[in-house]
Amino acid sequence: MQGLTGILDIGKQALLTQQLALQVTSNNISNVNTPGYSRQRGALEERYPAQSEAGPVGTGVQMKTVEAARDQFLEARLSTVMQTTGKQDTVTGYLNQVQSVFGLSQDGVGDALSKFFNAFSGLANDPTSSSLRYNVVTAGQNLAGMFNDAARQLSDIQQNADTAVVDTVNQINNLTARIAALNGQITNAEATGFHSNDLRDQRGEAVKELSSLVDVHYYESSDGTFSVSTGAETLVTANFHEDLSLTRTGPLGFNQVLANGRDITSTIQRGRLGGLLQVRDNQIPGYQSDLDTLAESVIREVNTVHQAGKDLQSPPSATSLNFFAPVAGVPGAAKAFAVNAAVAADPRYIAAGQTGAPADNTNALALADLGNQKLMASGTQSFTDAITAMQARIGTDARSSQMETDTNNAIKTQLENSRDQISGVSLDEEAIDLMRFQKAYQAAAKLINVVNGLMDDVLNIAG
Amino acid sequence: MVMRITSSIQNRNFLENINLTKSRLDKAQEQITTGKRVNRFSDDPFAASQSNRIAAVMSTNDQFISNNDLLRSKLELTDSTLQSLVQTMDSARTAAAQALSGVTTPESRAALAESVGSARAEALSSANTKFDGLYLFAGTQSTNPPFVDSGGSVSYVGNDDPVYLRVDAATVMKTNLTNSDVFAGPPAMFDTLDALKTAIQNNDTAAIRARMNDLETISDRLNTADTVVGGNMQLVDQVQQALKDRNEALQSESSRLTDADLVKAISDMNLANDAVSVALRSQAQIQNLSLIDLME
Repeated sequence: MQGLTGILDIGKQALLTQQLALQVTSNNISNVNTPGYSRQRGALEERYPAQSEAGPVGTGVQMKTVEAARDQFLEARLSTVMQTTGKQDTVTGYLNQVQSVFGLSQDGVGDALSKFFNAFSGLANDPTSSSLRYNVVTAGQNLAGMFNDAARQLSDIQQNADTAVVDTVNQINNLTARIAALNGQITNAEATGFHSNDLRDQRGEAVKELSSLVDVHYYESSDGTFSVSTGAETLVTANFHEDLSLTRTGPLGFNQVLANGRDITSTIQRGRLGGLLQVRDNQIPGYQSDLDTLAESVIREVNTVHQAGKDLQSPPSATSLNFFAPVAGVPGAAKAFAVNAAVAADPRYIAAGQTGAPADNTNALALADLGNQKLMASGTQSFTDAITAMQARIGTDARSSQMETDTNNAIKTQLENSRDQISGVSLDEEAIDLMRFQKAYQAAAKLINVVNGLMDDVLNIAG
Repeated sequence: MVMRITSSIQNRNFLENINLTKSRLDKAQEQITTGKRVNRFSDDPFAASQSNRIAAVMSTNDQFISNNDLLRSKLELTDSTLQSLVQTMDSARTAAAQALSGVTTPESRAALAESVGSARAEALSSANTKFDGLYLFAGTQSTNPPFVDSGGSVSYVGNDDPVYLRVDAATVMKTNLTNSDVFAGPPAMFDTLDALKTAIQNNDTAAIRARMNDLETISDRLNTADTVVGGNMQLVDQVQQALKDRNEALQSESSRLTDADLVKAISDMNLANDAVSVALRSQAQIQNLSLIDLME
């Protein structure tokens, strides 16, 4: 098309193209706060030139494609970091809860231990005093209560983690279903050869969210779809996805995670699910075992010394009772910790002496001494040392987890910033684009006006 | 290339920094309100462990201190009882000396014998002294009076078992005196008094003299026992002082480990507070710095 109508056509194309560019800019501005949105650019190019006696002459502008500014490498790294922060945030949260179970020295098991053995030391002053005997029973019950409480709270926290496993697996399934659906939509939308930027943004965001939940590996196939797997199990291919499922096993009936019918619980290391499983299956059982070991040891040692003594019954019982209800073994000892019901009901059963004489305090002294003896960890730790070591272990775990969380969050922020440097919307840039395209649009309108004038001139000549 | 700073980067950095500063503010505030730098094990596992062990030692020491206060009273009572027994022995000896003075009449001897009798009664009452519900000189059979006067003579129904108490982590003390330490002899206190009374009644000067010697031996024995009690009292006092000093030292060590440096905490809080308000204000200003706002 040549001549005035050609120019008019150039003007029309310019108007349409600048308008399209303005539309891209408006879209950027409106999505300035949309998570995962990648800024888009209209790629303008010259139209195919027309032939003239002066050779090829330009025929104006057109928009070739709308590109999204995206860095696959950064997205992949962000996904990796999200897997770590997802895990660390979870672990830190749970460890802080565990830590609050044991508190500081002013209260809790450690203090109850001191008070219990001190009560025997007090009883040695006057083994015939019923108030001092009740004092020992109360201190014993208090100690038992502290152990019961700590054991119960630990198992509550563990149960909460298990419940959260169910929620997390549901979220994972929703996300993999969404990624698969988006894969399908993207394949359809891109059949025309254009990138479907917005759908890809949504899929990227879903993958990011998935990364914060579980170990994720993903790659883009040549058809533009994402394949997502966790460990050796594929979760998404094309528009198909595999739901994770749950089955309850073990004495506590905790949920195990299955993929394609295989138990993958032990292979899940990262994301929130990895954190939950670590807390539920490794850390809390470790603390529980520490607590049970201490509880069993206290019960056994106190009972052994107690049984060697003589109570205040008249005449003294031939065989002294256990002070604490005996436990079968280490597992569950803290939960079962209790003062022997007979002793609690009648503190005269407390064996404070060894001869049967009413004021004999030798056994009370021996029991009080247990508090300072190194009876734990192959004779290297007193009971106080053991509970302190346990608290320090939890505290150190919580502290290092917190520090890792801080570090990883800093890395995550840095990566998100790097991503936004490329993909984020800068309102300043968009403002400039607005002005640019506005001016270009105005110029094109002027151009049409000029052509219109020229045409009038031609028509006037004819008239 | 100049970095592209998008508003999302600005917002994220702003939030990040505000959160960091606020968590510092929170930390400082917690330290100020609790007065503690270490509020949970993760704040400083080492210091928390140390202060945990210190708390256990202090708690045990406090129990020792309260035990020792009671023990001190028991030793004081033992001491004063022994002293009054010595006086009782003295009064019996005085009666014996008067009986030997040569100017006695049957009436005066009867009166002297009577005063020996009342000395015996005093001694018996002293021997059955109770402390906090338990008889002092009964060994571990201390719920009943250990010295029983029956058929004109005193018999001992307690035992000679020692009663030990731990006065501190390192020291175990025998806290009681029993029949054999004080009364049994030979010469036995009550038998001697009974014999003296009879001798005075019979005006048997040789026997009176022999019993006077016995009384002296008994007084020596009482004084020796009292010296041991006095030594124990001194030891308890020393141990008490040491325990109190130790607990003070432990308390200050625990404070050093876990207490907040309030001056630092307050200045930290002020700094963080300023930082937050400056950051908020600057963010409000930066928000206005957009080309969009300058467009017509």
